[in-house]
Amino acid sequence: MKQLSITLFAFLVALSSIAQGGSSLEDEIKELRKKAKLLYNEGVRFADEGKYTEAHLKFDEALFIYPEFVFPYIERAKIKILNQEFDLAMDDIGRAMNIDDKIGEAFYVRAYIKLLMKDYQNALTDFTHAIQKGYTESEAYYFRGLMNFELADYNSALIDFTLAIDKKYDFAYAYNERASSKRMLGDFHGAIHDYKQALAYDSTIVVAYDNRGSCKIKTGDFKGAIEDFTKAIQKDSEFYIAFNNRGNAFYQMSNYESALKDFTRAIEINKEYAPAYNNSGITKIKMENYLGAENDLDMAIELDPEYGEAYMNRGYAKEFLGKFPAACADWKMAKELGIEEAEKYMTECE
Amino acid sequence: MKIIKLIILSLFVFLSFGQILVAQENIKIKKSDFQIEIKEVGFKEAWKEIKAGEKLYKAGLGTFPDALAHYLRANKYNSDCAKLNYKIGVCFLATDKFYYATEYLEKAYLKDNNVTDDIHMMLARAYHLNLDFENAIEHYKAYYSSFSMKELEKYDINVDKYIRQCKYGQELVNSPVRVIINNLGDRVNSEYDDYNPVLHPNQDVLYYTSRRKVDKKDKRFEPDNKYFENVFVSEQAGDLWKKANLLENKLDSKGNESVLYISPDGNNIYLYNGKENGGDILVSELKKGNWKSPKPISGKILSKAKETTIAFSPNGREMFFISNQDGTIGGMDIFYSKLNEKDKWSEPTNMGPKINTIFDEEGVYWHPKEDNKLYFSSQGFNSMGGFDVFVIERDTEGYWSDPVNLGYPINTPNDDIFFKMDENNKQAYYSSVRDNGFGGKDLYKIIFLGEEKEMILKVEDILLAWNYKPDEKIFYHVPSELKVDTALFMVGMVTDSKTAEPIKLAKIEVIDLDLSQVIATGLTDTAGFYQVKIQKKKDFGVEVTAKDYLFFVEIANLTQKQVVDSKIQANFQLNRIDVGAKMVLNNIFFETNKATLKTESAAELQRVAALLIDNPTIRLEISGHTDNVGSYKANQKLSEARAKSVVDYLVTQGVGSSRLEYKGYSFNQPIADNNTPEGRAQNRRVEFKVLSK
Repeated sequence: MKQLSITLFAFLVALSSIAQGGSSLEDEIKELRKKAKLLYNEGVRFADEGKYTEAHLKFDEALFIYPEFVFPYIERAKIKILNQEFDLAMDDIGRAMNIDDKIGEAFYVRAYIKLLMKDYQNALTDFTHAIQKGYTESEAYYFRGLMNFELADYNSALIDFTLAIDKKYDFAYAYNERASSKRMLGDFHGAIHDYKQALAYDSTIVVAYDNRGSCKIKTGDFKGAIEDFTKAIQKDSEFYIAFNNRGNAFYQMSNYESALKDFTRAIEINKEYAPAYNNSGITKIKMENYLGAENDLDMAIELDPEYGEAYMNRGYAKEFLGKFPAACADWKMAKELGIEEAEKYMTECE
Repeated sequence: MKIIKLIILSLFVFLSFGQILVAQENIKIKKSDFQIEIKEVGFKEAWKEIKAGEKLYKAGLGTFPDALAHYLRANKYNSDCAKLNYKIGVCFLATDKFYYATEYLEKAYLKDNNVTDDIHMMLARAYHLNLDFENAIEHYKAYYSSFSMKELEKYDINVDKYIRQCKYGQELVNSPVRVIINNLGDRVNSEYDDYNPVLHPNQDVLYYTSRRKVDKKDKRFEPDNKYFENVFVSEQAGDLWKKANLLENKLDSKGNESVLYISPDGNNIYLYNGKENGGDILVSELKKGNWKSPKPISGKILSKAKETTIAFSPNGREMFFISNQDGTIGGMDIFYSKLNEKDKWSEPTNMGPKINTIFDEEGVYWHPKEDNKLYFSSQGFNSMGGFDVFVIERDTEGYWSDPVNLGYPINTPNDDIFFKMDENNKQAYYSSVRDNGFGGKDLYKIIFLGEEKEMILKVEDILLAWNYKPDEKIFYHVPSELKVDTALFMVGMVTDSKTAEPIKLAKIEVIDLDLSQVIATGLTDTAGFYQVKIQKKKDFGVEVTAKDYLFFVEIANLTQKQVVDSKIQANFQLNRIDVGAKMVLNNIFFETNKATLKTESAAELQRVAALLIDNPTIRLEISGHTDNVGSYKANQKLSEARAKSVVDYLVTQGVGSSRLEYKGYSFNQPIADNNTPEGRAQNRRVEFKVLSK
């Protein structure tokens, strides 16, 4: 702060010495501030048009002649975030906070950087500060909701997303995230309603179709689930998770051929997607292709050696193949990896 | 009525349920039955096929599959010939493709419902094998009804056994056991009958009996026209069995021979020789890697009758064998013998009617580890058809339990026999006729599954839309051009009046009193904190509502509060809806000295109505109160009338009258000093009390 003041003072003295017409120092300062604001406004206009490089330049110029001007730091930090220059963005926010530590938006931007750096706990603190310091835009609640969700505090997340929606009734992302919070709290019907709202306001949110489909599975509406997953796939033909989930819905309806087709497609899109191998494996068990199942489950475990469910399922495949010691070894491993159900099958191994 | 009796085939190791087909009626297909008058093309070739088929069909069961191939080719010329369809159906019944039989037999019946005398029997058999028990029972009954009483008595025709089997079958199919049944594959099984698996104690060599053709000179066994029994052996290679070879041994009987049992040390192999003495059990010793010439087993077991399978207890001191020797209850029975103190086998005894039936028992096998468990196959008890596998257990006092059917799908309406359980009760080998076979009876491995297990599907979602496709527009707000923000914020906390706990999701509505409009709303977060933007500093009406709390309405005197950092602090406390909780309704107004509500009371009354609607279980008492001006009696009347007016209004808003009580208290419950005008004004009031919730 002191450093900046001295710099500004030296700069203004220099300017005043070359000024014509004998204006007072105060007038010069006013003039410079006015010019800085004009540059700032130009930067804002560029940013509004998506011309971030030009905007950045204008903010630089504004700060060159008025280094204690807080807002260009904040806007420049945002552009640096968009350029993935998180450290530089953090520097700008630090400077803004040194000049004025009561600006909520500065906390908001810093919180956002922490969010991107997956420092969720500190991001949560900063979003809260931002709100307390008056930055009460819907996005601040939304992002704080995200942090609460990531930290598994679904009740708080639910409230934050509600506050975000209260501020902006058509906030589609907030509806999707609130739906997911409800889902984590076991309210599947409430979640389905919110996913529907999200799609009503923004039908491009592919995951909302997928998520709604998964909730429909939970409520036993397999046909509705398949429709939703199909919509997700129509929106994004490479959405392997939706293929995997649609396969799940087919599986629940005992339509194993269609299920296998979807799991296979998920694997084709993402050859390293272990859950699809797992699901393909158990579908093959249902189709009495035990060797094929064992191969798929081998693959799932190779991709994720700590995949307890896959060990559990491979145990079943091996049991069907009459490989009892190997099945027991898999169930033992599943138990070690935290699969509780494995415990009861261990008695068969004694 | 033409009756063909069952031929008793006593010279090979067991009687098959399939023998019933030997009894089928051999009707001759005549040219006139088969030829289509207007269709010359193809007749000559088709008729040749018929003739070839007829020859093989007549030869017996063993050549039914060959006859079938000819009949099917002929059927392409005329698929409507009842007799041909009958014969195709019967041939299919004799194979492991028995599921095709129904189609042809139904067609034969459709074309000519008197095509043969036994069409109902064959149809019943086809339905029975295909687990269509209802139709099977219907046709068994129809078959029975087709005979006169005299014929029934003369030929001893009885279908009760089959009908019982169908009924047992329905029960067994409805409660299947959890097993996997795998064919041992074409290295072991052949297109002919393969049965009676006997595993070497090391579990790595499999001996079994096959009725396959061994070389070109092989002759068929006359009674059923199949090739003679021979012993084959296969070695295990990993999970598979190697290609089986004929067991070279010194028996070489030129007749039927079958492997029955290998001693736990692997040095003695027990064989069946169909040529000797009506069918005897022999034993061959392994010496220096070679099997010695088989000799009849010791003891008093062998008779002039037939002795077939044999089983020893794990300690080798008890023996069970199958025979139709003297003492049999019916057909082949299980007999028992044990070594006495002098190591001599005792006189064989029949196991008695608890274990043996008037039908055949076969394939006796003692569990390799558990000396109290015996497996065998029987056509009696609750068999669902042919031989079914049963188990009996011996209690500590030496008594054997009733036989227990091992259940479907181990057992089927066909022959399921020669069951060999492993020592861990995890898997077994046996022979069966199933629809995935290579022909006739095949060897299968049964894998016993434990309790049903639920497989775990893995479902994943991208729960947060942000994670799927972060949208920079959400984050990056382009600010409006630089301005001086003059907005003020009203901020504060909403808490529980008793516990001071923050109340989340409380709704704050700021009302411009001049405009009578809500100008801002906000919700509290998890910390009970709220913040609403107001345009300027003035006095506003504030209404605060929250779930499970009484509403709160107040004039917020913001003009008297200090602005700090563009914020004005205003905290609110709410009372929880508890029984006994009271609330003064400050904004209810009446005409002077009357009980008539003024229109400006509507907002407050609707808040009360909303409270009742949102909390559908609570009941309220609405009470009226006055100051002390005038008589008690007059004030009592007025206060009660006013309370009633409020109740009447609430009822018009959809609140059930049973949830409301009203009462006038006159000036008995003052809340302020009646000596001042301000105090009296406060005492003139309506309030409510929560009676229950």
